[in-house]
Amino acid sequence: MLRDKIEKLLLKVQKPSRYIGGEHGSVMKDKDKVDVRFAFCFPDSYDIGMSHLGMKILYSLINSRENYWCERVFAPWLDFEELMVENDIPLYALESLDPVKDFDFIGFTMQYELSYSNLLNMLSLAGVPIWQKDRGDSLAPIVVAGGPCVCNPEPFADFCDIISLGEGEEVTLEMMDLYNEMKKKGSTRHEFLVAASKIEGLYVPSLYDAEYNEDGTIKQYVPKEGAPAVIRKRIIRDLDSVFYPDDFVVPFSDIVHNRAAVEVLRGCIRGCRFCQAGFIYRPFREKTTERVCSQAKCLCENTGYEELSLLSLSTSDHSDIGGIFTELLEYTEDEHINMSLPSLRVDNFSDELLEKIKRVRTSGLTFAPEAGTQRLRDVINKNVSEEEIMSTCRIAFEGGYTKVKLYFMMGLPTETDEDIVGIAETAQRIVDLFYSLPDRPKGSPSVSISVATFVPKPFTPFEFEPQISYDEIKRRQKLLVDSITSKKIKASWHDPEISILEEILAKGDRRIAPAMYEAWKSGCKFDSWGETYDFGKWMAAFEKCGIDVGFYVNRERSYDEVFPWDHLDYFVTKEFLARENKKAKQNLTTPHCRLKCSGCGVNKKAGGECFEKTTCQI
Amino acid sequence: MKKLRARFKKKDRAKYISHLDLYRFMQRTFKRAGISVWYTQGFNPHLYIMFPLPLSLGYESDCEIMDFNINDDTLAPETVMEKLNEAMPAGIEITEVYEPEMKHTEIEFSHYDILLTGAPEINAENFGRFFSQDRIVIQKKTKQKTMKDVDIKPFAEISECSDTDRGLHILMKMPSGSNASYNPSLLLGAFYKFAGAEAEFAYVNRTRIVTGDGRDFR
Repeated sequence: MLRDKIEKLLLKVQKPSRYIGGEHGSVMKDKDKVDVRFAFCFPDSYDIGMSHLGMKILYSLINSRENYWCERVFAPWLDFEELMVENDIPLYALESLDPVKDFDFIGFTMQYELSYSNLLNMLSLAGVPIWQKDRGDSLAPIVVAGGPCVCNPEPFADFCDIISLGEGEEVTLEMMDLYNEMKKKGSTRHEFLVAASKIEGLYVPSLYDAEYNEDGTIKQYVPKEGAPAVIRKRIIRDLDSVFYPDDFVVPFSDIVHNRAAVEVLRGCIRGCRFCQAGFIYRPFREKTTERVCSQAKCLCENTGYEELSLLSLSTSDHSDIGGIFTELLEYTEDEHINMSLPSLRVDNFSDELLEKIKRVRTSGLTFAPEAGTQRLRDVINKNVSEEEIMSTCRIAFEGGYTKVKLYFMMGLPTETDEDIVGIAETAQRIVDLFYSLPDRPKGSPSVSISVATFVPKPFTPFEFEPQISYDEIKRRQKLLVDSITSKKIKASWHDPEISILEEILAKGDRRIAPAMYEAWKSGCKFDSWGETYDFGKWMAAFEKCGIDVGFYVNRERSYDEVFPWDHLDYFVTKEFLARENKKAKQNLTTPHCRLKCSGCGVNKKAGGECFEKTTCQI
Repeated sequence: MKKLRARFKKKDRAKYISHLDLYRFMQRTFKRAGISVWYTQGFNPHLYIMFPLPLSLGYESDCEIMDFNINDDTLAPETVMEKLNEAMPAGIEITEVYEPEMKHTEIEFSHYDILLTGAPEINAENFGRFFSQDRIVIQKKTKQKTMKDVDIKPFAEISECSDTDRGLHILMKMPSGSNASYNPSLLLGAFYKFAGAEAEFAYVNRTRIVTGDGRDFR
């Protein structure tokens, strides 16, 4: 039995409870009594994957169907992976401890580019052919991928049978129902894939041939066997009534986000031009206050968690955020539950809101101005002004906070040295502000600025833009360091090499796949972890496969170029993205959706009005 | 407020819950069970739960001890036990809840039921020879984090040692009090060295926690 083999190794590895399941909330079923088994794989460690909300939603949803069983699978950490390979233990699921290769579906959620190599590694550990074309004609296992990164799935499309676009609450069950039917009929993998391609939201890469122009750009994707030319993403029309778990799997060990979490809204009204999530999750939809609060209480009671979090892209944009806070703060205080509030915007951060947040003890505040000057903030449509940043910091300092953390990006379109120096100057003005306040708290201020290299992403107005070169990133980083004169300011940044890798994986096409395979073969996995990340191996793999990294990363694209993701419909139109790109270059902002509809195209695709009051009718 | 003590089993997949994680695990179980437990009243109120005797990661137990205080004096200990067990995942089971009768300092020894599998050298004869040595010196970490040599022989009591079809079966009593505390793994490690082989797997189950005069700790 696999279990005995596993247990013999567990005491030799770090945090063994990650590999044996049995947590509160994990769902056990009799495998002989279920029709379809789904192995939900997160291509990163347990500690990261168990923090992910989407997985919890789909896990509970699938398991709510008596005849379907969804189990969890995570990438084993390096120490355990080595022992698994040595002892012939294949990748297994945490509930039944059965091998993943025996499941009907192997689903991956693609959350960030640097986890792509783990998809290959996990398929390999499972003993499943890595390339889709090698999987033969037997129906199972079907490898399916979803999550935000599948808005450009082309770099890993050749490893997947199906790509699920958009929100999974409806389409996952539709896909499993179809499978269940065809499994009973004894259908082949190919027959199932052709049938699945007719379900809206399911993209079957093997039914499309990619054709390229002589200059290396995409000519077109040619569909075969009746697959649609354009594949539309799926959305949930009414967020208020969509399935939401009433219980979570509660890990034994501590993980990154170990708490009850309620999603309060989906989509974002803001339209920050660098932000992929802000476009691919449109339209904006929110849950009612009543629903948010009842789901929060229900989850707290069922999980026993001592921490509650409200999740969304921008929680303070909920139209009744005050009402939600008031009710939940009262509840959580009585129950000894801490409330954490990520994703708050600087501009609607009122005294009253801060007063409520202060009741939830935190040591510092985090803001994301993203750019160092007003001009550049206008370019990226981050409609936050210097005065708003300063007034928020004043409120925070007067409220007793001394630590402020600011997030910026470097390498944004149209960025000049002035904008880089502006980052340091903004931080300096916050330090000066602190000392100018008569009511400042004791001690000295600490302003951390965290600077990421900008990675232009598909389905944003900056999808046409190149990433700045490695040498230029280095030069601008040095300029920033030289511009900081106060010891109260601490700057940190991401390794620019990582941003280059993110960019090529984010904007690549199917020709990237062989290089990804090579990189994995040469040992690349857990690329977001310092332990294994090796840029040199990736670059060697690109070179070996004849991939010109600059073509993907540093090339400006014209508005009429066909992109690898153009056959996928995420509802925002390319015309709108091009329009926004042009406005960006004229330093012009676009008001958020509540002020004025800017015609992104989502409302038409979603079948009517897209805005909140009428959400239910779309 | 009423002080209560629970005895619980830690078995199966739950044996991989570390001692550090056990506090949070129990806190969440109390919440799920809907039992109002006493919080410390300081600046940073936290749930008061106390485990007098840690259990090594990977060991099973029939008799772990947890102390806590409930706010509702009228709640019967049996009810507390029922509610907790309903909220507990498989592997942990409360077997008794009662008002504490003894102080933690009265704990002196633990009994262990051990099965060592998977290696022919790990047998009763070898263990007999091993244990008949005059001295069995092991290295033990001191409180100052340095290592010191200790003769563990006088502390270990072996009441059974026999070969079974699953492996070598040992019943052992070891000090686990505030004055002296020795983990069975220390003795097993020394035995592996002596035998020149390691058991493929060591099943260790704590069966009793007892006082100096051999009574069950209550």
